Amino acid sequence: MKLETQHLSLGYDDKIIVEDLNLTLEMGKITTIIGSNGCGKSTILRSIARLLKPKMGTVLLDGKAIHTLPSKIVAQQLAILPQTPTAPEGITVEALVRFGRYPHQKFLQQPNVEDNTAIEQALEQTKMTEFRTRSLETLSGGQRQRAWIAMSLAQDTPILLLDEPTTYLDMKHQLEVLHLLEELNTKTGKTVVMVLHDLNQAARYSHQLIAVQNGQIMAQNTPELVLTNQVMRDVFGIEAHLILDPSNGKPHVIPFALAVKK
Amino acid sequence: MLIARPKKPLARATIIGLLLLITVICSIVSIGIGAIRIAPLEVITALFDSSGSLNARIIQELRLPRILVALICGALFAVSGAVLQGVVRNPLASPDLVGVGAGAGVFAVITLILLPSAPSWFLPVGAFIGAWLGFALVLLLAQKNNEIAPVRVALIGIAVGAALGAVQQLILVRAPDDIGRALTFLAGTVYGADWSRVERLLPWLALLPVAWFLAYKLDVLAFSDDVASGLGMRLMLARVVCMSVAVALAAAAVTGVGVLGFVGLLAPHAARLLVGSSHVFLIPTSGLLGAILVVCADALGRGLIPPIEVPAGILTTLIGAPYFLFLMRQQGRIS
Repeated sequence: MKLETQHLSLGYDDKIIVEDLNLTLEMGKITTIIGSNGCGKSTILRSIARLLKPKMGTVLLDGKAIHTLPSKIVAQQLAILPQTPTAPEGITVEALVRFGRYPHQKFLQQPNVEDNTAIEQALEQTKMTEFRTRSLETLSGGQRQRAWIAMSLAQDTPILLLDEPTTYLDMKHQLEVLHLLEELNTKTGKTVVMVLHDLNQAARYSHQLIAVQNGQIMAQNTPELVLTNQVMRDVFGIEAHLILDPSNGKPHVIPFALAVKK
Repeated sequence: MLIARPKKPLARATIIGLLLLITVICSIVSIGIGAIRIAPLEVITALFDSSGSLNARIIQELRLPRILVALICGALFAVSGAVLQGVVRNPLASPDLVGVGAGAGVFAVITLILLPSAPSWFLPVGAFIGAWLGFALVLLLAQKNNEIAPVRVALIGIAVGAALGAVQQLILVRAPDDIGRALTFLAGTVYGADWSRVERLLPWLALLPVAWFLAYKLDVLAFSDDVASGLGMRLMLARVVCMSVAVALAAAAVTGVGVLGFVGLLAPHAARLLVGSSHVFLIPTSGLLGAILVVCADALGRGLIPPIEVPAGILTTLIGAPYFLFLMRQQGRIS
């Protein structure tokens, strides 16, 4: 399995947001795309998930252009959890997770053992089994997000993409979601690629960070090598102390001033 | 969608069974209503009476085809509405929303008035073509960058409907005499339905299972676009296929009973209250409710002030319009 972009140009209507992007994502790792608002990080993720057609260039999955592959085949390889997904009103957790099997099901085919196992596993991994008959609206924000992740897991893909999966969640639920992703990665070797706003969370949970500014990759490496004073200044426009988190030895950012523009 | 509590499959199957029973009962009672009243039990014996008695002839030759046309068209309109509400993701959608009603109306009027000497089978043909042209116009205007956004379909559908309605009015105003037939057609009526009309409509019933096969796709389309595409759904294709089936259903129904208002809006919405938003159950429930609605509206129209007949379409609109307003208020309260 290999996921990369070649000479990718992205944008909406006439506006170009990303130009000539070449990116290779490491398989079996957690990679987080970071950058300030409007830098194009979500756009990049959406195009990798083929939710956005490139203006030019290609996203390659195992060497094949993702936009020309059959849609269901792609959906068997990578799942995407968008930023604000919406479901039909009144849907139960179990019904939601069941829809994750859509790319695996053929026309008029009844759910088979494989489908049911995937659904049970997804519910279990996200600790949503006890909520299976509850409707989505009755859940807390964190539970709801876990239900959506369970749906993506039921899709049973080697790659999972998430667009700001912790937005709108309180601190505890944010950590809950990130813990879950970390666990999935270590236990099942699932490749996780996500967009996050919180740099310290990104550093804490990712093997790799990709810092994006104006649609260009400014740095792609381990958190220790990406989170430098230079990157803080150039990409985020802030001056920050960089210390090591005493609990896990990962870099921790403490901003203290706006960077002076040259 | 408005209220859609999770339901047990068994309970939903029971509801569908009950509706089936109600449909049969309503049909039998309705057959008995008219200038000559016939009791339900006599209706049943007369249905299978081959002796050629008066009651048997009235029922078999006059009333049975009429009820069948009402049943078929009610179901076609309702399922069309259920599919469209799914595609457009709006419980206020109906076949009229995608230009079907307006297109059919304009072409029916054109064929009646500009070609008065055309044979009578020409009117439904004209309406059928018009329904598709109305839909094509909406689709053409609503698509942007090879994508169809549900919101655009809804808004453009309203605009196209208004424009075509104006054209229709213009023709009607300029038209001299024989507009009675046109007006009846536009109101929607089962009057004068005979066996040849039943035969003409029968093949279209094959579309009902087709719509039912689309249920799973419609369920996935109910998610936001990025979720549906993420699951491997080809949105544009799925939407066009589903809408085409819906238009074919409604266009066929228009040829049977004219532009029968609000059935395609009312029935699926009521069905959603009964069985929830899963289309596997929603589609058959809508079909049955639509059939019941039109049969009852027709029976009421015949029974209210005999021998004058009130067109079924006027009654469905009389029920439908307030219900529509109620829905809008409900929706406004929620969002």
